[in-house]
Amino acid sequence: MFLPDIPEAAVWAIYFAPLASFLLIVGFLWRRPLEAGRLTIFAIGLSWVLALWALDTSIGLDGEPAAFEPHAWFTLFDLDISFGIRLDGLSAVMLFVVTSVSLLVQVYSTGYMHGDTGYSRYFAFMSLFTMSMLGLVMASSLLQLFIHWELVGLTSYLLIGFWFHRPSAAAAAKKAFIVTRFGDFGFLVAVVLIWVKTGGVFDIAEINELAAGLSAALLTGFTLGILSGAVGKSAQFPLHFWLPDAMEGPTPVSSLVHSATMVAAGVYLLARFFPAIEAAPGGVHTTIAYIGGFTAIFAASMGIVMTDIKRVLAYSTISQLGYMVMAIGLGGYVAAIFHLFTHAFFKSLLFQGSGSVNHATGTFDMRLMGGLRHSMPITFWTFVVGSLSLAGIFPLAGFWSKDEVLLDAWHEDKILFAVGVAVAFMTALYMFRAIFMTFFGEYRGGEPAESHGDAEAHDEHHAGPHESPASMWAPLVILSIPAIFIGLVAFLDFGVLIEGAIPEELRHFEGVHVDGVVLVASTVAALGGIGAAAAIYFAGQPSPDVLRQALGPLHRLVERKYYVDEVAEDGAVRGFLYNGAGRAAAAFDRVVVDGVVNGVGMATRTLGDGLRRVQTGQMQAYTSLYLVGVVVAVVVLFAVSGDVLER
Amino acid sequence: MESTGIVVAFWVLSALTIGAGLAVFLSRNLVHAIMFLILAFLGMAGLFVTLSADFIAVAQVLIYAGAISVLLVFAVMLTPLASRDNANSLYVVPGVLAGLALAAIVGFVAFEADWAALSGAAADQRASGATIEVIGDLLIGRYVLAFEIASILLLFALLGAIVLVHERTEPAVEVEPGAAGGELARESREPA
Amino acid sequence: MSVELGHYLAVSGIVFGIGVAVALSKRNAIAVLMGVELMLNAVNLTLLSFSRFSTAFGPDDEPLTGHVFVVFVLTVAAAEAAVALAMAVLVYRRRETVDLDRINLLRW
Repeated sequence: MFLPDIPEAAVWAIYFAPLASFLLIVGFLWRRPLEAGRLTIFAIGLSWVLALWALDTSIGLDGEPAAFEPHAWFTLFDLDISFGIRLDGLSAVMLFVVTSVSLLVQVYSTGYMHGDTGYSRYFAFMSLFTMSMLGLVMASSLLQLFIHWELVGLTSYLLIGFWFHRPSAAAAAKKAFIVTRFGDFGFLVAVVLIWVKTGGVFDIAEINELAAGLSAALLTGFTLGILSGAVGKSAQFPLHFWLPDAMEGPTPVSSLVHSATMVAAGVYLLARFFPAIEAAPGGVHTTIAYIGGFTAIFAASMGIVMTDIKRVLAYSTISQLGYMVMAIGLGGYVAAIFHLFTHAFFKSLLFQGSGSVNHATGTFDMRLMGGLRHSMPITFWTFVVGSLSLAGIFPLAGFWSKDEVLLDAWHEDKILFAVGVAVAFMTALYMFRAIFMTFFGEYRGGEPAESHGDAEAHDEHHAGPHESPASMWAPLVILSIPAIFIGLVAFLDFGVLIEGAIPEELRHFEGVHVDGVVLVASTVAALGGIGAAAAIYFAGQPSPDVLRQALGPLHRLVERKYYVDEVAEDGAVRGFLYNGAGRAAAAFDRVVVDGVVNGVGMATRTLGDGLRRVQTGQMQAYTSLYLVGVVVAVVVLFAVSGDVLER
Repeated sequence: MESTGIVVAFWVLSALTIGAGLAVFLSRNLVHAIMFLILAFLGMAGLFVTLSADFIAVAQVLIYAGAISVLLVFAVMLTPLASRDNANSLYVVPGVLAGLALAAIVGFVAFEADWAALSGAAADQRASGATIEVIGDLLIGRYVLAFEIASILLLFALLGAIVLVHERTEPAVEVEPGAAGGELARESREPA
Repeated sequence: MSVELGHYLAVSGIVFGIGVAVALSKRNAIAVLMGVELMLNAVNLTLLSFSRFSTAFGPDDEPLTGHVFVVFVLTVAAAEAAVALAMAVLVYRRRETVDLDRINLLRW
């Protein structure tokens, strides 16, 4: 728009800058943490500048894909594998989101991770993660996307388990990796399915074009596979339970990986294959929409009772991702991406705010906080901005995007609309519950006796909580600007840009319009939530304890997270996988696999034992055998062709 | 070959060669076996003469009946403690059977095959004059490369035989008397 | 009565068979070597008789190629005898025997 079109090499540079940073840190800066941090910031800053250029180019093209040809990678028999860049409105926006948030998180990390023994390792992993995510976003082929999808999973594992010496962190990393693998398995099935049925068409645009011509069964299988991958990555029910545990990772990691990028990858995947999903039978849409809607309300209810501020945010993220998935299922492609876009900024802001609070108090437990608004004014105000935006208060960013989602629900499915409004109420309730518990009232002492906070991040402790260093509050301030204003891009042809990525006949976004019913319902719900939070947690009328007793078993059910972890771990993992499938596999391994292996070994051994007796070591034995062989050969020759002696 | 002298010579020499060969197999004494072997070589040389191979016959007498026999006798002398009987090994049955089978096969082929062979007077006509001049021409003419390689082969056989039999004078090492005793005793018993 | 190619080949075959029998069934390494020499001699006889009787030669070919072969066989036989007897002496020096039934270092 303002600049000349971006050359392909520059787009590749977006991808390769963090990779170079990773390699340089691993190779040269392992023992020089300060340089490692600066290099990462520089590399991602470069990516960010180039991503802006790419975004500018994409706006100039009205979101239509830029004409980059795929490059041949390798050929396996008749299967040509190629890789390339798909730069359209969707990927350009994602590039912008990923690089912006990543850049701010890196700056924030230099303060938050200050003094950690794994400082260089941290930035190496962060670079690698950013690279994977950028590769995922810009992939033009399904296979390329899948590779980066798995790379994102791997780096997320490394980052969640960054403090691997802490058993809970190691377990959380394992849990995140394994649970998302279940979803990835479905994705892999979809990849194989499309490979087998189309004869090796991996180009995403081609798949989307072909989708309409595929049989309903195949398309259902493919889209459900895609959905399965998205459910794992975006922590949708029933694979949602890894995300709260993933909060064991350093807070900047949560801020990047679990708010703006990795968890958004699932929604991005659904959006990427939106044309294929649209072509799929109606049942697929309903499935997607209801998984999203159910996850949204299910996670929000758990967010209300958590006492750990990061877990509140984790459930909030799951809930908001549920909104996006629901929007995709309802055909609200633009609404979903719009919400993803705004959510990335204010959720990243909220996570960083929680990290800042932790930095000051040494704990994540809100019961031990309180009264921080005086000692940490910047954190307080930015956190309030993020919360208002998340709650969807006019005219902050979250308002516009949430209204788009609810508008789609209003037109498509009244039940889901009701769910969406209820979630809006609950969102406001749990966010302001967190604010009131954290920043109001009296300070309740901070760090408990056994520290489970990010103790490594800051060895020195002061008498009382204090504002975090500039490297931490500056990103908060910067992020609060988009958290307030970024929703206004909806008036700037944002819909045109995003819809440039999908075929013309699917575009039906008509610009922002406010429906009276939706506006009133969502605003009333949000204000009601804030009011309820204020009544309970600020005024104490009714007090939380009274409520807890009144609700009794219901509260207990929610507090124990609906026993999903127990069902998953005791039922699915221990009961089915370990005792059932695991033991069956072990028995199969012992009897059949070991039997075959040992049988072959025994047979070989017995045979060799017999045959070795031929090796007498006596020359004449060998010569005898040889001459017998000669005689036999001649006799056989005569027998086979009797006329060898004839001329 | 029609002339009576040749025919008689063939049968007599054949009988001599085969008989001497059998005696090599049957004789009880190793030295006697060598003597019968020399006789077989000589009979073979006679058969070569009946084939008009005068040079080869002479070479046969010189190399086989002369040099190789002497080598065999030397080998027997250099192994004084080995048994002198011409005893059979464990493989006498397969050995004899294999010998019979091979002889039978060759004999069968010899008489059954439809050889494109000269016979009678035609064969006599082929037997023309001395062969030594022609063989000499061939050896330093068409087969000169093989000839040179054969000379190298002989040289290396000579060196190999020397190296194998050569007694290494081990550098004097400190050894416990008891450990080396057996070895030394064995060495000392060897012929000078 | 005349003597033909077949007669010579038959004699050669018999001598070869005796050579095989000696080589396989004698215990003494030197006796085995004697069997091998008999086998070589039988082959020489074959070569010479083909040289004499075969019509396989064209008008310009040398009929004495068989003789040249025999010369080479003699050469190789001499070399082989020298090396083999040296080995027999060597084995005797190490093990005080040339009894092949007792020389079985490569046994399983």
